[in-house]
Amino acid sequence: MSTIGLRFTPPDESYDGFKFRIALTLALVFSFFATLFFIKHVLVFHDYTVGLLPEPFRVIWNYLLAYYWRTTAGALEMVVIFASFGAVFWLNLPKQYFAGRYRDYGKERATAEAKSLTLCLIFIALIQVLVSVPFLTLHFPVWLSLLMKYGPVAAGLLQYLSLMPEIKGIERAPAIDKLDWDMRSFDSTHRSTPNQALEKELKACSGLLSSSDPDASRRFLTQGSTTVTWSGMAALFRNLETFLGVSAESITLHDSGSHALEFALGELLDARGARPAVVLTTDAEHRSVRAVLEDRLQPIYRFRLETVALQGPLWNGASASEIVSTLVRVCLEKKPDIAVLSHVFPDTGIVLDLKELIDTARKKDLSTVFAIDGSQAVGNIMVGDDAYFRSAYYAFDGHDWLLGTPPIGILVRNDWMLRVAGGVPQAAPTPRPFSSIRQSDGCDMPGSFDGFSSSFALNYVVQQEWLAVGVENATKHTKKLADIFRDEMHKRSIHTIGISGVSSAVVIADVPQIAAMYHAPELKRLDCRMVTTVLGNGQQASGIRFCFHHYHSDEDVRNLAEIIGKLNAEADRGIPAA
Amino acid sequence: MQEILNWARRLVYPAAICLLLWAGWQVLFSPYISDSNGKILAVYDGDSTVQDCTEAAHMTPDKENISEQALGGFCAAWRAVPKARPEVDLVNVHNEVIDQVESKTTKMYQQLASRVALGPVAGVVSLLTSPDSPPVVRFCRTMQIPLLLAVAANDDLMAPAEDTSGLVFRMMPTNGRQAVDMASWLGQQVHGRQLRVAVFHEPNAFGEFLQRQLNHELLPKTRSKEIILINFEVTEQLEFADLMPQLWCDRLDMIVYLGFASRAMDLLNKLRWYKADDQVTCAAKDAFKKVTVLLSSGAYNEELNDPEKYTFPFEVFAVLPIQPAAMKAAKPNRPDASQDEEETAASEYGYDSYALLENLAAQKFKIPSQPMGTSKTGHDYHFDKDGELMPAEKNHYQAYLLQSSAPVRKQ
Repeated sequence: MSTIGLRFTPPDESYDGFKFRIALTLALVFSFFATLFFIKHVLVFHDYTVGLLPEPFRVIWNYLLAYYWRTTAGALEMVVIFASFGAVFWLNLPKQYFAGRYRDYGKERATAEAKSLTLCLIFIALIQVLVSVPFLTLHFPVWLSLLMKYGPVAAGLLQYLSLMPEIKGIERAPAIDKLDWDMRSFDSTHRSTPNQALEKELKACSGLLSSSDPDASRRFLTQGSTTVTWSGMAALFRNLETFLGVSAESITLHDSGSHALEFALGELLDARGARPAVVLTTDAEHRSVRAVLEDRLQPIYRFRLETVALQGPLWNGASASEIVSTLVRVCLEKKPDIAVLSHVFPDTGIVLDLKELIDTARKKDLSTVFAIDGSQAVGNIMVGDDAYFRSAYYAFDGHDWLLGTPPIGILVRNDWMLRVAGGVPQAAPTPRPFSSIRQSDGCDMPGSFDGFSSSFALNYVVQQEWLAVGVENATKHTKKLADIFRDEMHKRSIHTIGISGVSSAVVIADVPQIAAMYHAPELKRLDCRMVTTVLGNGQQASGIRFCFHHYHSDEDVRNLAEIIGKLNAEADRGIPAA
Repeated sequence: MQEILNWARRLVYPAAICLLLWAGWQVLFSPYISDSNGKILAVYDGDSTVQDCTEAAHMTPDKENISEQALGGFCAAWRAVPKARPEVDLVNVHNEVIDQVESKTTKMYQQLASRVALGPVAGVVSLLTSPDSPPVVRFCRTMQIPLLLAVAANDDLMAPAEDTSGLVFRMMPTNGRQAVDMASWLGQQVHGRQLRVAVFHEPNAFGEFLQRQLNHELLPKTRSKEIILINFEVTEQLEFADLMPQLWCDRLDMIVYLGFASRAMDLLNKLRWYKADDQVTCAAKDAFKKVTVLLSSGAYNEELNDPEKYTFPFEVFAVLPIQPAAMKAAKPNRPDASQDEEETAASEYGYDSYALLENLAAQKFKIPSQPMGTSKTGHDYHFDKDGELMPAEKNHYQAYLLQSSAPVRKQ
């Protein structure tokens, strides 16, 4: 099918896929029966020749009419048939059930040709069912005819029940509770409607944490409960290990992403002792990173902070290699001991080529230790070994692209790199006065259990959403959506920032009346984010950032693009944005 | 437990495929659709409709309506069986039968379909005559429901091309058999002299078929001039009176009538009362007293066997599948005799049909069937692969000399 460039089968995980499969099953089974009845009641085989019986179709037509119009059971069956087809294929009622329980990844939409084929199959199935049902009643005893009539429906439904997880190799995992998502939210950092399933989990977990019985609470924190997703702290680390592809031993949890980074830098700076240190960063980092460096760490460690002006190149469309070259040049010039950089720059959504940067730095004999802020990367792009094993630290949080609130920070420590390049002794990470750390085992559980809800939330989204969906699937999907959005914007002559086609965050800029333009989608309950920066030359640059997630579909993106296009056209004509 | 459940889940599709294949096998290779606990549909053509066989006990069958007579016999058989008997559903197609040909067929299909759709059916007994039977045969063949034709003898109803084998059974010897038996009887009348036979046939399926078959069967004898056949078509415009001088002079030995009773009676009456006048120039004397008349089964009427109603100066024979009721010795003659006991050939066929369908169902409608034991009609109900009666001695037509003949003599 795909060889002619058409896709006739809707995605399995979508409701269109469900309809297609059910219609196909019904059409196949009842066509099989209809063919048998045709051979039996219409054809006559005589002396190796096949002929038609006299007037078979008149007889059959009259029988069908009599069955459906003159018998109560037949009339009832006809009503049930039409009602069932209407409910499943027109009103889409089972979707309400499946959506909450089964995987419906990314609300994939069927292509036009797939929808047409599905419609065709539905009509075939309906006709064949109407023809076959009276003959099944005629040929078989009641119980057997019921089995024949409703068995195919049951078999079709079974494909979508979690009872049958391995059918045709399709993993049927409990799915994203997509009804809890607000598809109009195009902001990475919050969701406009609360995730009810997640809230339910948190509520259940807090109910199991009893302040009056600390032992029971400790047991719950270490072992979890069968009534919730939480299966203990060790299970959370196992999930993170699977999700990130790094050893659980190299992962530590913190209050937030910036706290994780703070912890990392503290460890590095401590290891340097009294030696002076140069820390490099850019003006394109998140303000919380600058706050950590300038307000919290510099007063303690007295290092020299060098800032590379990257906003200008980023907003002016510099290529990935140009950005790397700029950073390498500054590194050669300033000889920083530590570089604190974003993997994906927060304002522009542009991806820094970490592999190229760190490998070039190594080739130039630079001993810079890289601490990477991956808050805008994990869940947005595929983050692999290139990032985790080249950098000394990789920090990110659970509430940005991973969509798990309340916030929590995750730090991946590269022990080998830290020991060789950073001079950090191999030892278990220890908390510092200015940065906390959460232990991976339950031995030293605190007396107070407040603040564990972020761990429960992280565990829930990782297990129930990211592992279920697959990070590769999700990022591939969101990248496609971002590509669609860029194309749609370019079609409408709207400028997008950056050249990266990897990130799922897209910033539009050079838009007339940008503030009004930003507020107009808000009025339409579309969530996005206004980004503003001052470039190196003192000019102010503004844009609107849109982030695409796995719960968005092509249609959502096209609808968004259409709205933006209309607003832009109105702004061009000088009509104030509503 | 989870493992077992997983294996069970994997078995769902193979089980479904096996079930479908088994169902397909059942549909394709089951020779008929019959539920032994289902009802028997009895299709008849009656001026008045009876709801059930109990009500039929009070019905007075029209003596000219073979179907009603057969229904009387059928219901008598049903009442004679103890309580644990199959349910019977009576379907009167009178309104459909009198309709125009096209809508008649459709309406009969509708009637039958609505009864079949209501619930399981053991089989259908058609108490209709040949002209009304094709829609019933076609319906039952298409729906694969076993059918017993009680009083329809038309050969074409069970054409091999329609593959009615094992589905449609006929209780009467066919019209083709009647032609053969008629030819055989005529051959026996030669006695070394040339036999001059006038053959009258009506221009309908029954008359034309018999005429054609009879001519065919007698071909060797007509070629050898042992029998001379003179054919007449009995059109509506034909006046027998106009033919009488010719018949008088033709030195006829026999007159064969192939058609139905009304015109046959007309001919018999003309023969009975004809007196040769001056216009008749031939020298024949009392020509019609020497003639022998042979009536086909359709032309027979029970009243012809009543010497108090008719007396003919010549011999009249009727070719019939069973002995006329009037000639049976055990005919009840009590004043309290019920309608059930006033038996006609049709009612006897109707009577036998009820038990016969049950017997066939017990034999799973296998062909050739096993003999069915005693019967009211005297036939040996033993069916060949086409569903026709085996050509046993009891299943032949015979020429019966009617009691209205003068002088009455035994055949």
